[in-house]
Amino acid sequence: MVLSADQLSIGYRSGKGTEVVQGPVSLQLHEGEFIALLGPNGSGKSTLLRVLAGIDQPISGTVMLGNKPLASLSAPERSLGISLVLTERLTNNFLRVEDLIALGRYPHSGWMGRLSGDDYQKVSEAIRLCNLEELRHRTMDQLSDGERQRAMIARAIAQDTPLIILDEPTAHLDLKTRVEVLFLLRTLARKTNKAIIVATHELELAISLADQVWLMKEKRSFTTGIPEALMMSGTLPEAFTSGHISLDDHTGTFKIIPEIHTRIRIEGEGTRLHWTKKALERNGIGIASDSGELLTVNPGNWIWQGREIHSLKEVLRMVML
Amino acid sequence: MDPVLRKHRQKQAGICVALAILTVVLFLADLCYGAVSISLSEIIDILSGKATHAGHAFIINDFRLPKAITALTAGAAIAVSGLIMQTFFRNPLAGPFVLGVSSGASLGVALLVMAGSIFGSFFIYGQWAIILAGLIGSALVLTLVVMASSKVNDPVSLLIIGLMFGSFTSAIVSVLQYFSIPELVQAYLFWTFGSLSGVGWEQLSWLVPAVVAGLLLSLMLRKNLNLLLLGEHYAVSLGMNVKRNRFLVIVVTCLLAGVVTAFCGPIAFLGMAVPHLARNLMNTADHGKLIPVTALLGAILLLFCDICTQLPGKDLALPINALTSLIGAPVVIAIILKRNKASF
Repeated sequence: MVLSADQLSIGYRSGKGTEVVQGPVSLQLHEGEFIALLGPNGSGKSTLLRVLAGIDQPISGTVMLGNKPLASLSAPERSLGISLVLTERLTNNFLRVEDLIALGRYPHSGWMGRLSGDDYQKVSEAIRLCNLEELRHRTMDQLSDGERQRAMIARAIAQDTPLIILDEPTAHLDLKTRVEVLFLLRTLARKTNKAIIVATHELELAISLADQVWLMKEKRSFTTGIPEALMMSGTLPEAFTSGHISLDDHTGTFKIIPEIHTRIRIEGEGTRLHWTKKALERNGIGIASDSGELLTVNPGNWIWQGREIHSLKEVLRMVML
Repeated sequence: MDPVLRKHRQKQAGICVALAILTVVLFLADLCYGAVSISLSEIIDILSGKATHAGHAFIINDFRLPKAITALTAGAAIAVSGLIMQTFFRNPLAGPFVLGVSSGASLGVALLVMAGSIFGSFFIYGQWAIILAGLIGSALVLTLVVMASSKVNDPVSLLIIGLMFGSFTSAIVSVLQYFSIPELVQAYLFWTFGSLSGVGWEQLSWLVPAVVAGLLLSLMLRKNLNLLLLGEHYAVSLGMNVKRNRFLVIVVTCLLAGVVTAFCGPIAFLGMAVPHLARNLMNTADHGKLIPVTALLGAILLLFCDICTQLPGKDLALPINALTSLIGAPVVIAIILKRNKASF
């Protein structure tokens, strides 16, 4: 067991008293597990991460890092057990990627911060695991957002702690890079046997990559479980369905609920049928098997009320007339 | 070792050697130039105790040598304190002058020199009292700025707070001046011009150990300073003790900037400009390398400024503060324009 929490409540302390945002909840985290922490802004994701990282104290309950209470550890002791990737941006333009990653070895070094051959080995390994060989001599201001995030992850890997906590590492990244970063983290959890917790808004990716989902819906609603189980029980689809957007309980992807004005009958098969339906739905045209108006989807063309059409754009125009 | 890294290291080593040689050259040049020019060979004779000209020996031993040593140590100290403050406050424009350390020292000195007369009796002050007052003033303001910095997050707010501390203290000084007698105002103003020549051997026996201790301590802070490049949260997650580090930064900065300001008066711009020069020259963020290079560059610049103050010739010497601003301000502007943004 890397980390466990027993009857944990988190929230805010103020002059007026305490306000519990989430909990009490019990959590268990094992070696090599990849956890996605999901939930809307304000549901307490960051607060939970700060408590698990030992930065803030819980309202009640205890967090155990390995077999020691987290609250009893000093900052240097915590730095050997937990590494963090935070949302704050670096402002130094002279820091080279390799030197940044080497900072991860500081908890293992003496008071002068001198690194040994073994430390440099760990740095090289982190560089290799995060595919940063080409970028190791660049300075941080020469990197793209995604590359910078990979460098920060490599720094956490070099710190070589059993637990890595990342607060929204995919924010500000483009779609392709978001996929790459989360996939990298999953791969790292497998390869290095470290437990990794990621707070993210990438629901679809989390469902297909995470070993466990920790779901915070609103205040005082904290569910944990493997993603498929949360899909089966309806917990995840329910949490993310609102208005015209729903989480498809079959595919685990978001779908727009179309506003249907009229319905037609459609015949055909395969990919062409699928995307023709999609295009029609997007324009408010639903499918009904009892409708009198028939659209036939053929391998080479479309037939709409006896007339032959050669492009999907033309189909939409004709059907909507 | 990988070739890119080796080339980088070789270049850095070359720069360090060049800077060390330049420091020695400027130190000797500072001894040579002045109202009376003294040749290098004669200086070597005087320094080795084989003086032939009693007057020249007096000028070197009792005037130019302590002044050159002061320039050397003060330049190194102010520059390194600027580097530490820029990293600690995560602010490329931080420095002892900007964040009120110098004005804190001014307030301490002004209170000592002028407040006495307001309360009727003349306060008989000596050099030591001035130094102590400057030191206490700078430590006080620095502690207040550090406390304020833990409340504000963005660099601009911190600069504004530093400026406000500066305005506040100079306002108090103005009030003091208004009620004070002209002779004392003059004594105070003389101190604010910044002067390297007011430091004799006796004062040097305090200044040099304080600065050496400060520089050694700053080298011991290199690990924490490197961690602070990532921000305080990251630094803590990598094992830094925030409170102990904060305390050490205050102690080191006071040893360096506070003591020098107290001895020599406020020296403008050097603390802000030199760390930028060092980073651009060395192309690194590692404080283990930046601290020695910043110290050398600071010494070089202040020695150079001191030589320049003698340029009008004869008996006239420019105030050192005018020179450091003349050189420092364009350097800061050039760096910001070159990088299109300031980075610490």
